[in-house]
Amino acid sequence: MASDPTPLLRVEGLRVSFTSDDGRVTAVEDVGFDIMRGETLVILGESGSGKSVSASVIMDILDRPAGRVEAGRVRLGDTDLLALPRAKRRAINGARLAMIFQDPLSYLNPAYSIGWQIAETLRIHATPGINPKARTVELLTRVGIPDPEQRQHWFPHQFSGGQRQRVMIAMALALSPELLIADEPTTALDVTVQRQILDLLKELQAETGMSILMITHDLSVAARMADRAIVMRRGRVVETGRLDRIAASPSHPYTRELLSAIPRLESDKRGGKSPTTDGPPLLEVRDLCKDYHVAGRGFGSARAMRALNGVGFTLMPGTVLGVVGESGSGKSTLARVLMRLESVTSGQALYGGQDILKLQGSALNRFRREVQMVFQDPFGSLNPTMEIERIICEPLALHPDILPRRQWRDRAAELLEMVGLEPAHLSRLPHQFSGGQRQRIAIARALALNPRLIICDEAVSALDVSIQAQVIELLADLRRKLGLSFIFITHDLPVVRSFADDILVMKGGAVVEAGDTDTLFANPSHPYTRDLLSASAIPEWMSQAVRASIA
Amino acid sequence: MAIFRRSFLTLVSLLVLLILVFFLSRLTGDPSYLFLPVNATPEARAAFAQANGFDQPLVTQFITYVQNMLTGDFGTSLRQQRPAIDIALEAFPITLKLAGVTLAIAIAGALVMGSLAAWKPRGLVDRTVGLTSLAGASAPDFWVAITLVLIFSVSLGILPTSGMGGIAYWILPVIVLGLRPFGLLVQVVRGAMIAALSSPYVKTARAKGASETRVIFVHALRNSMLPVITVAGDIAASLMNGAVIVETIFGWPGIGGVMINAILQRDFAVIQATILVTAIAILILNIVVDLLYGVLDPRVRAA
Repeated sequence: MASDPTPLLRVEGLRVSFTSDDGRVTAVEDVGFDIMRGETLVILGESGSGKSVSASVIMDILDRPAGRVEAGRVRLGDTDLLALPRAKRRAINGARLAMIFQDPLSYLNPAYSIGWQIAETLRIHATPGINPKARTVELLTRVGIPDPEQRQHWFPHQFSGGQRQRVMIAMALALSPELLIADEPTTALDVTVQRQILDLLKELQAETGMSILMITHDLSVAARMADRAIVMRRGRVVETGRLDRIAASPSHPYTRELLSAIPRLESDKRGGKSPTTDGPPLLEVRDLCKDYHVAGRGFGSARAMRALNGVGFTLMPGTVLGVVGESGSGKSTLARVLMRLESVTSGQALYGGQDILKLQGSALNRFRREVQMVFQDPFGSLNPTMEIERIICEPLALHPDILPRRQWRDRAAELLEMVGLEPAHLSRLPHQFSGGQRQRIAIARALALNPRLIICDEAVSALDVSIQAQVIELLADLRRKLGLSFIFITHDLPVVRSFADDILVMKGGAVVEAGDTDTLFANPSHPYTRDLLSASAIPEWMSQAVRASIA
Repeated sequence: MAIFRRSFLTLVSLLVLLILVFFLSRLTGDPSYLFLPVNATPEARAAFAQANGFDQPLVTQFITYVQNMLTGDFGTSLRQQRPAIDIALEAFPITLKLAGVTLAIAIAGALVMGSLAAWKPRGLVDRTVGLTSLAGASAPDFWVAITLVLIFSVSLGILPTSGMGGIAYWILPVIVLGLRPFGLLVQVVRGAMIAALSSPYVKTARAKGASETRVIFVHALRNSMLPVITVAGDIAASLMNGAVIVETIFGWPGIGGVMINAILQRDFAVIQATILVTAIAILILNIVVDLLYGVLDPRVRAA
C-alpha cells in the first residue's frame, strides 16, 4: 500500500440531498475518504448515517429523482465518475466496480435463473476470451455452491440465505473488479453463516487483490474485516483511521458511545437480585414437542416437521432466561406455544402448578394477563392508525375488571414515563416515533396488566447497537423495580450476556446446551455454542483496546 | 397432480353451468308464442311442444339433453332448423379473430407505452398516455364507433363503414374495441413497472452495468407481467363473450349477436350451444393464463 500512494478511489466533499415532504433534506454532507489498492475500508455507522447513500453515489444507483448529488467528486484512478455520461459510467459498473447487498433474496431477480444472472454480467461487458457459460460454473464452484452444473439453472428462491449471498458474490466477481462494495452483506444472515461469508470475501480478496469497501453497523464485522475505518453519523464522517487506533483512542464522543455499546463489556451490569433458588419455580417446562404438518405435493402426502423436540427448562421468579438460536432453531415457536398462540403436540408447561397448555376459557384469560409479549418488529407490531394511548390501553379494555375506565389515561401516562417516554406524547401516532421509541411503547403496552412474565421475541434485533443497549438497560431496570421475569429470545448471543441469568441454546428444535450465563460464556461445552460465540465475538485485541480507552 | 385436480374442477364448473343455463333459459317463457301465429289453437301449441319435446317434465328434458350431447347432438335450432352447435361454431371464430387481434395490439401497445410512462413518471409520455387511457377507458364504445364511422367512412370516405374483408375492414372495429383494454392495461403496466423499477433487483442490474433499456425490458418488464396477464385474461374473457355493440355496428356476425338473438327468440338449443362454446373457450383461457404465470414466475411453478 505504502509503495503506491495514489488511491484507487477517492471521494471528496460529497453532498447528497433528498426530496421529502418537508422539502430537501441533506443526507450526506462533506463526506470524503480514500481507498487504496488491495485494502479494506469499513464505513461504520447506524441506520440513517448516510453510509449506504455514499455507496449508492459511487455505484450510480442513487434513487432518482428523489436523491441528488449536490457537490463533490468521486475519482476512480484518474476518471471523475460523476462527470461521465451514463453509457460510459455503466461500462465501469460490473467491470471495475461491483457491489453486493444486504438482502440477496430481493436483490436477485426472481424471474431468472442464477446462472443466467451471473452470465448476464459477462454478456453485458463482452470480453474476448471469456466464455460466459464456462466462467459461470467456475465462479459458482469458487464461491462454494455445490453441484454448480445443475444449480446454475436454479432460481434464487431455491437457495438458502447464505447461498444466495454466495451467488451475489459470484456475480459481483465475474469480471474481477478492482473495488467491491459490500453493503451490510451479512446482516440478514445467521451468525455462523456470517462468518463463512466474511471468510470467503477475505479469501477472494487475497486471490484477486481487489479493494473492499465494507458498510456495516456491526463492530464484530468491522473488526474482522477492516484495515481502516471511517465512522459516520448523521451524514458526516466523524472519525477516520486505522481501526485499532480508533478502538484505542476514539476522538469523537459518538465513536466512544458506539464502542461502549459492545455488549460483552457490560457482563457485570446484570439486574439486582440474584436468582431466587428457593421456593417454587414460576414456570416449569417439560419435554415440549411441536410438529408442523407440511403439505406435500399432490394428494395427502403430508409430512411432519418437528419444530420443538423435547424442550424443557425451569424459570424462577424474578430471573431472566435467554433463549439463543439461529433461524429455524424453534425459538419463536417456543414463544408462541408458551403464549398459547399455538398448540403443542406433547409436553407440559407448569405455571403456578397448573399446566397452561391445557387452560381454557376464563382460566386461560387469567393466565394471559400474567404473561405478555414484546415482538421483534417495532413497525409491524403497533397499529399505525391507533394513538399511543389506545395502543397502551387496549389490554385494559380486553380485561375490563382491572382498572376503571376513567383511570386509564393516568395509567397510560404513568407507563410511558416508566419506559422513559414523554407522557405528553399519548395522543401521537406510532409513525411519529423512532424504532427504539416504538419498542418502548410496546414494552409499556406489555406492562399495562402488571404481568409477572414478559416474553421478548427478538425484541432488540431490529434496533441499532446503541439503541439496543438502551432498551436492554430499560428491561433490566424494570426487572429490578417490578420483580419481573423475562424469557428473552434472540439470535445474538452477546446481546443477552448483560441481561440473562441463564441461557438456553437451541438448534433444530432441541436444547443443545443450558446453564447459567457466566459459565456458558466462559466454558461453552457444546461445539455449536462455541461456534455461535466465536462467530459473533469482538476480537480480543479490540475489546482490550476499547476497555483501556473507555475506562 | 395439479393438472388433474384442475381438469376435474373445470368439468364440475362446466356441469354446473350447463344446469344453470338449461333451467334459466326455460324461465324466459314458452317459445310457441314466438314461433306460432298469435291465433294458433291450443292443439297446435300442444303439437309444437310435443314435436320439440317441451311437453316432457323439465328434468326429463334435461336428461335427454345431456344424453344427446354425449352423442354429439347439441339440439336443433327452432328458428333455423339446423344443428345449434353449427350455428355457434360458425359465429365463434369471427368473434375470436376480432378479439384476438384487438387484444394482441392492445397488450403490445400497453407494454411499450406503459413502460415508457413508468420510466419517467409525470413526464410528457406519462401525461399523454394517462390522458389517452382515461379517455379510452371511459368513452362509450357505441359513441366512439359512430363518431369514427362518421369521420373516416362518411366524411373522408377512406374506410368502409361495415362488413368483413381486407385489412381496411379491420381498422375501425379494432380501434373501437381496443380502446378500453388499452386504457386499462396501460395503467396496469405503468403501476407494475413503477414498482419493479424501484425494486432492489433493478439496483443490482444497474450495478452490473446494464443499460436502461436492458433494465426496463429485461429485468423490470418480466416481473411486471403477472398483473398484466391477470387483467388481460379478464379482458379476453369479456371479449370472447362477443363485443355485441361493436360487432353489430360494424356488421361482424359474431357469437354475441347470435346469443342475444337466440335469447330473444327463446331458441333454447342455440342459447345452450353458444354459451357452452364460449364457456369452454374461457376455461381454456384460464388454464393458459395459469400456465403463463408459471412460465413468468418460477416461484409459482413450485406451488
